[in-house]
Amino acid sequence: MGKHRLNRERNRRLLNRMLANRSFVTGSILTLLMIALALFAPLIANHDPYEMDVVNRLSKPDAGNWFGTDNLGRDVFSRVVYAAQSSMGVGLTATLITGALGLAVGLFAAYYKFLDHLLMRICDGLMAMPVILLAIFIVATLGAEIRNLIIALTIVYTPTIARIISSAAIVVKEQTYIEAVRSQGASNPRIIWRHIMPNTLSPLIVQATFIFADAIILEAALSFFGAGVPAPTPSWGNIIYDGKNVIYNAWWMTVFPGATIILCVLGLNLFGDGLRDLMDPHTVKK
Amino acid sequence: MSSRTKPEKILEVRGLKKYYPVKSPFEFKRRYVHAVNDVSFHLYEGETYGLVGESGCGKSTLGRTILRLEEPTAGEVIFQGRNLSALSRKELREARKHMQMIFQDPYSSLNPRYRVGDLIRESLVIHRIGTKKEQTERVIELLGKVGLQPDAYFRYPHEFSGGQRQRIVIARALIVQPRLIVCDEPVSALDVSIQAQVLNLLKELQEEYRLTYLFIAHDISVVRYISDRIGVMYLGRIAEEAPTERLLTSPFHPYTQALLSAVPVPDPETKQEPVRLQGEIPSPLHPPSGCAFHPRCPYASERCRREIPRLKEIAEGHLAACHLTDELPAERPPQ
Amino acid sequence: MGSHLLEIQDLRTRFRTERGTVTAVDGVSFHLDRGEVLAVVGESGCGKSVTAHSILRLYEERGEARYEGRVLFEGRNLLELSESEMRAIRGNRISMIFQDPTSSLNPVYTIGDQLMEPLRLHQKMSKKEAHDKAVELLKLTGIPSPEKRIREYPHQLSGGMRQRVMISMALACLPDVLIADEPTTALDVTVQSQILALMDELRNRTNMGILLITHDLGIVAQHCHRVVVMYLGEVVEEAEVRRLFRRPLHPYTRGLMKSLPQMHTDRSARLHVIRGSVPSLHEVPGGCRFAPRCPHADEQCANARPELADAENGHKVRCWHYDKILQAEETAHVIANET
Repeated sequence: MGKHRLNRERNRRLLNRMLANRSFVTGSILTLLMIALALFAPLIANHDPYEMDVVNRLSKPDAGNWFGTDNLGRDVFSRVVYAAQSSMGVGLTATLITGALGLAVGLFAAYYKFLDHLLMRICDGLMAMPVILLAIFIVATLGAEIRNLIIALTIVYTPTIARIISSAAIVVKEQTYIEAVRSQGASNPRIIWRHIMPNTLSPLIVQATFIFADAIILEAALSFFGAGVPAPTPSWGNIIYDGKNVIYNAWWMTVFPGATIILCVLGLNLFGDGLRDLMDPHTVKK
Repeated sequence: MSSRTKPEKILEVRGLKKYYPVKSPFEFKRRYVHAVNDVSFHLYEGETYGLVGESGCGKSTLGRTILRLEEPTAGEVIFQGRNLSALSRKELREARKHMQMIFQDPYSSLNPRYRVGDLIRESLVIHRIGTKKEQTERVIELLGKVGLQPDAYFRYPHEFSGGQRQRIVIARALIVQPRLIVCDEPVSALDVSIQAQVLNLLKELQEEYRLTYLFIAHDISVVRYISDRIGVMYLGRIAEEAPTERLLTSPFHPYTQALLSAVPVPDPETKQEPVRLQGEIPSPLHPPSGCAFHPRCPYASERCRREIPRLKEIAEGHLAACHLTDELPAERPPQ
Repeated sequence: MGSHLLEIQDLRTRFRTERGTVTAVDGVSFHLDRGEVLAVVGESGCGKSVTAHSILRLYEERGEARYEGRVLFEGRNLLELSESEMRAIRGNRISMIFQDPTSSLNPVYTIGDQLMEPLRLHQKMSKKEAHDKAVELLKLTGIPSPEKRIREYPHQLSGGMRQRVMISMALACLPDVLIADEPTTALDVTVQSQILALMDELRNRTNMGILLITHDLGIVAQHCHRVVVMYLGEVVEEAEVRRLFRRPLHPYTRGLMKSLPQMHTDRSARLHVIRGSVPSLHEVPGGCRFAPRCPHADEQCANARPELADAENGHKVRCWHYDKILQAEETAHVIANET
């Protein structure tokens, strides 16, 4: 029918709006850059991130070692590049799990009154605790492994997503189209997942990008306390941790990973902002 | 007397009540909004029953309670011989195939995330009717029946105007071939010229599919045009019920008289003297004792304050809930 | 005739939107005299509300809106006044009441506070004077126990009461012109009847002019003296109410009246339908704007925009062929009645 033509037209208009939004474009470029670092690390790094060269430890950035070497003589540039994999990997995994879990919790809390009190009070409790302390506590209890790091991040961030989804879902639940589909005989699970959920996705996706950014910072903070990604796997946070004691002599161990974190987080935040702008007017178009 | 064969009763509502609890932090006693306060009436197959009333009369709530979108507090709804309140959840879902609803706000009654084709098709999917191909054919067929182009199938609701969205809502209601459709203010949000289109459509479809409509609206001229019988609600109760022409030419209940006289007639030559009622409509939280209308009624008596009037038949098919009916057939109140 | 109380001459209001400039009001002219009620009638998108808002320059000029033309009041063009001069007029000489009384009243202030504000602002009353005047105004608009009500908040009042409060606020400074934008659309019909009666009574008392924006032809017939019919940003017909209803000249007006279900409409017949729908303001048709939907349109209508011309005795219409159409329809009517 006119399906393909309509779709192409719609996509073209969407593309134009995306390109016109500066936050979105800048954010996307930065984020893609970071993702590229992670994906193509072996191609970008010019040294083995684990290879130690104790003779050349703590040497300044030069032609051979663009970001200098660390306290064990490892090339900081290569470590920073490879660190993208662990920092972003941890962040992404935590975000995905948080997103899925938060979505489910939020939707059930919004739809079933009795669950609302229970679940939201648990979330309130978790949110009342300072994020870093909670995360450190969890990692300290379970042990310093990547898996536990992800668990900590998930527990810390799920309540935020749950609340947001819950608010959005409560609004959607009152819409006439939900009553309409109930009058057609839809079952509760169908109403929740097929009809309410798609209308809560925009705030979810936007928030998820911010959580991703937060997770990266949190991972770095945890690493700074020695509770992050365990050595020798590089993460942006633990490179800074290694450079903690020599910050005045070997500034490059702090500055470069730090700058990378900033760029990555900035990119994600801009991307999230742009995404939010793009998604909002879509439904207000009357 | 009448040689008409009595058509079948498709819906019977008996003593229906719907109260909403209101929690007030300042009071210890539980208060209730008496949205629907003991309503009884019935619908014959193929007819249109218009339900009119002002704010707080409960007509919308009544419509939703009949479909069991709200659980009744008391009373029964017998649809096609089955007591809806007694059905299990599964049986109720099945029954929903036969009774559908059309909503007032065309802008919020369609899920913005789905294409029109999928929205219309949804009921068929829920009830597992037909193969995918058959479902698609039926959707396209209905799009045509409601006057929309087939390419509407692929579009999203926000691409359509209010009147077109109502057509989509109508198509969605029709696809499962219901017997009864509750229309809750279906044209109130539409412009006059679009309203005419949608009303014509509803009438055509009713004829073609032998539908029964419960038509809820506040615009009396619209209700008059489409209804065979009209019920007037006030504060959760039916004040009067009669065949359309009769209600409009010989309204009995003082509220009906006031209501009809207040509607501005688009004819400057007709000078209207609306019955000016005292005060405002009371809140359904505190319905007055006895007859709910007595505080504002020009003919109120002591009895009206004490005793709730029952709906009594004062002429064939004409019922009124007013103590003045006792004074018939001697004298009817002046109009 | 002397000068009019309020005269709009060739008003144009443009908005800058994402998709280009939209001219919501395109060359609208009419006038309002003392003691009369002028109805502005039309469906969504016709520009009636925008016209009303434009008179008081309520749209943000630095951002979205541009005005052209003249709005003459007391010999001055309101569109040329400074912002502070406009402020002295709003709520004081020209007042407005809006459709939704709920969102027009600030929920965090009492009725009394909101009523007293224009009094203290424009008439420099002391708190006590303003309070007494406010009570008097509430009494004027039929609110029972005004001394008690004055301390209440908007949410404690019903819709009808809130609209009365709005009217009180609008009349506080005894304006010359009251602009009422769909004042009763959100109200029940019995309350509507009370509010309209109140407005009639107040108008008789103060001799103010009322500009009544509405889509309800019943209200027009019962409460207004003259009517202006708008379609897609233009005035298409203007007449005294009786003349308009007796013999509407513009095909749009005729179509509108025929599609209204009335108390005497034949219930077994289909309602008359104006085919098509109102085009978006982004895609205004060339030539006569109603032509695409008009059953009588021809080449000329499609290409040339008719002027708003005087048909007879002050009854104006914007149509090339109104007289021929009228003749044809009346002949057909006579034939139908004879058969």
